[in-house]
Amino acid sequence: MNDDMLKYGLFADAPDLVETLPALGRLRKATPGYIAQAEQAQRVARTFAREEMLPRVLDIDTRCSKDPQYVDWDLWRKANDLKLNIAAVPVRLGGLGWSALDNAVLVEELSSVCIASAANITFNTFGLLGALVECKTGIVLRIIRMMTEAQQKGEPLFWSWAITEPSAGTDAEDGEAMATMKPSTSARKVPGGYRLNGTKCFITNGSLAHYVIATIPMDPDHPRESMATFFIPASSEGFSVGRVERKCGQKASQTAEIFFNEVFVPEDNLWEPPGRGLRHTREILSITRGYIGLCGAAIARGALDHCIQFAHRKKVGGGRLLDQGWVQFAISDMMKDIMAVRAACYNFALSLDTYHVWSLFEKLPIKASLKVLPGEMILGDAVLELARKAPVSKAGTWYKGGVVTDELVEKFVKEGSALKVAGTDLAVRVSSRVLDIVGLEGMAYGHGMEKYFRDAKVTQIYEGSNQANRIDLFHNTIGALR
Amino acid sequence: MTRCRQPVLEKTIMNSQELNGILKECRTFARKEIRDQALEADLAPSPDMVDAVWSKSVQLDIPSLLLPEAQGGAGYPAFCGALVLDTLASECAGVASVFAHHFAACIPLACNGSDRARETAARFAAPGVKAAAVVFPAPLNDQNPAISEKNGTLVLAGVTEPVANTDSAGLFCVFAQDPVRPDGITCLLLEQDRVASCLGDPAHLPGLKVNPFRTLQFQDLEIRSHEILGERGDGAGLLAETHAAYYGFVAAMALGAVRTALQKALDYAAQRYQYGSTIIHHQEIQRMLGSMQLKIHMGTSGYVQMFSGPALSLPHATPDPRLTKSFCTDMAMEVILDAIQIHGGYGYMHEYGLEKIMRDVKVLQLLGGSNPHHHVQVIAEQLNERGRS
Repeated sequence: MNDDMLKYGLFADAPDLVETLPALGRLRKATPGYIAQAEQAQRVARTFAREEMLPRVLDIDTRCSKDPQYVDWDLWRKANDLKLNIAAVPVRLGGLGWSALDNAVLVEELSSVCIASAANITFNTFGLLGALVECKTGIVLRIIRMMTEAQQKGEPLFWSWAITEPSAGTDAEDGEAMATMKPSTSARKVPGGYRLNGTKCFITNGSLAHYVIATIPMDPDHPRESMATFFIPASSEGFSVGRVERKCGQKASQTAEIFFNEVFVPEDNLWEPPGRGLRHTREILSITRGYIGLCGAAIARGALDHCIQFAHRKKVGGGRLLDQGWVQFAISDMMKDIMAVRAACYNFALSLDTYHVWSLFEKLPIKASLKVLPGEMILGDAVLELARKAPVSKAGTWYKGGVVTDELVEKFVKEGSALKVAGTDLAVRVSSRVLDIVGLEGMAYGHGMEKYFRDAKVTQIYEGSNQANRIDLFHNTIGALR
Repeated sequence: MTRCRQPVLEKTIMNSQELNGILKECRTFARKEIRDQALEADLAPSPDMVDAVWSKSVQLDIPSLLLPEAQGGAGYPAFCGALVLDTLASECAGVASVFAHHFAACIPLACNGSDRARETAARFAAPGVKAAAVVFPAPLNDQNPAISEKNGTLVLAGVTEPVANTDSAGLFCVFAQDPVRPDGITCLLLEQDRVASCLGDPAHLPGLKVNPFRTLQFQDLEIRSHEILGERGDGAGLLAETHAAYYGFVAAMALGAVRTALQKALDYAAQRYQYGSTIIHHQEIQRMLGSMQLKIHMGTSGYVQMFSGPALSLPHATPDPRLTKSFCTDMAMEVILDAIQIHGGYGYMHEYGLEKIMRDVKVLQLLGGSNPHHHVQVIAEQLNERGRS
């Protein structure tokens, strides 16, 4: 930051969450603590993004170009110290207790600087989200304890969500596609558990993961009917990591092949029984697609924020590049798209807090438990042992199933799919267009803008290709009317 | 800025049989000498790779393609150069860009009838000579190199936008602003040793990586009289000719690059199985592929027409070269984005070669000025001309 910079967006002095999303101002009157925490989240996340990430993301990108397995552990530790990697865990249990809205703020601010480094920090939520789908109490508490203990010790704990297989990416995210996919992975029942075989590819953090949550069919000829979800420690015998891919962008986020060779998984680590694997995936997608849409808007915002500063500094014909009419129209055009998509994504985050899994934390039994019982007790051995017992575990599944119904999941998949397409298409469009404004000079690596363009493209592909998201949107709306 | 004009080189339409013969040889050359090395060179750019391709290209007379026959060149028109670049870019736009900037630097030598031009052209038509670089005044650069007189000598001062071929060029063709007359442009031919100390750091652009771009920082570089091509301040026409051909070259490279992307997308769609069939049978994929074909065909027609328009003398057949470049590179970007999309995650991985094309095309979109700014400029200049008349 220097004095000549325009105080805007990433470079603004004060948090601007409510200023840029005025509807939150109205909400503040009803729930002041909720909005105050979101503003605090923005303060923390923006400061971290600007002070810690921004100065080093180009260096990280360069290092990862040479060595795809490079990780900036110093940056990760700083995020860990702030508990940004366990932000969604309730305060009483050692986390920040951040709502879906707060997590949206976190995702947006970090992704506006570097979506890849943001992924290394925020993807940890997958562990918790994955466990919360079936909501077996023993599993949920165990995962939270693992996360908080690792955070307190300053030790990395990475989770991977392994869906994609060679020549089968989107296929595993949609019922119709899954029915006809030809999976390379398979599981078979053995005494005490299951044996897993096959290959998953393009797995985010696959090379760093301590635990993998994988969907694998029991019967590869009938994948939809037999798809199950397994929880697999990376230390399991027979589990191995293949190559870490050389990608166009998002280089700080490792993407790897993983192999299962007769990997044994005990019965307890079957998170979703055969036939429920797709449902598990759909519930995760019902949350993450909306966030990826916001990541897209954040890439667009970050690229545009940089472009505006460049156009402000660049002198042309006695004025600034920013003074040129065509530049002003182009910037306004991009701003209006970003504003619209961003507002829609935050509306989605508010809906997650109101109706989806985050709403559990507001339900009386859970809220009361978290208020009354000490965290050490909730995550202690005795409670964990109790929570593992079948009746308690089933009660968790039953209670959560009443809140997050199949119908609700598909409704959020629909909303999330629309936002995912809107946000990620915007990311590619804006990150390309800003380069047209700043020209060859501004495109040079050191200005940091071309990286947004390289990072953006894959957002249209992962979390279901944008084509698959469009299919989901149609099938969950017009298609459902037949 | 001087308005782009049609390249006067295209007085006749080339014999298609001869042209196809040249392109066939170039295709074979590109597959043999460029294809297998393009991805590795993108990861670890090395001048050795470019030097090797350049040396071998001499056997096909590619470096001297546009130089006059009288000076030992092949004497082909710029249109032929564009088609050759299209062919080379289908294997690697970065390598093609080395030839494109060299070809552009050859245009003044071919167009200007001075002894200096003939002598330089003859030297450049000889085997073993290095590539040339070309420096244009950039539309949005307040520091474009300009000539002035200091203590009775002519000096060159200013900072260029990132320039191609700087690491390999033996000769720099610099179009400098010259206040000797209003809107004056002087074309300078500077040998590599005169420019060596003016090279800035590499710009590290995302694409065309085998051809590192650098700014040139001239700090009162003394200009010798023999380095001026033609008359001082009289280079606007030469600049317009060169610019026009250059924009056609850029358009051709972009389309050449995405021709490969389209083929890869067609091949992949024919083997990727999803929803019970290969995806080439899905209507949305067919729409995307059809749209990609349309964009490539119309872009190709656009640059072919730009070069051949003057010979045909048809009405409405002479688009401004900047608009041609703008259309072709923008279409190429749309094509490559869709080609990657059809490939899914594989399209984003380096080894499949598609993401490299996307990065290359993004740089091509910006060469010679950004496309939206071209649109503004073209109309503004038309208004100025109307005002003058």
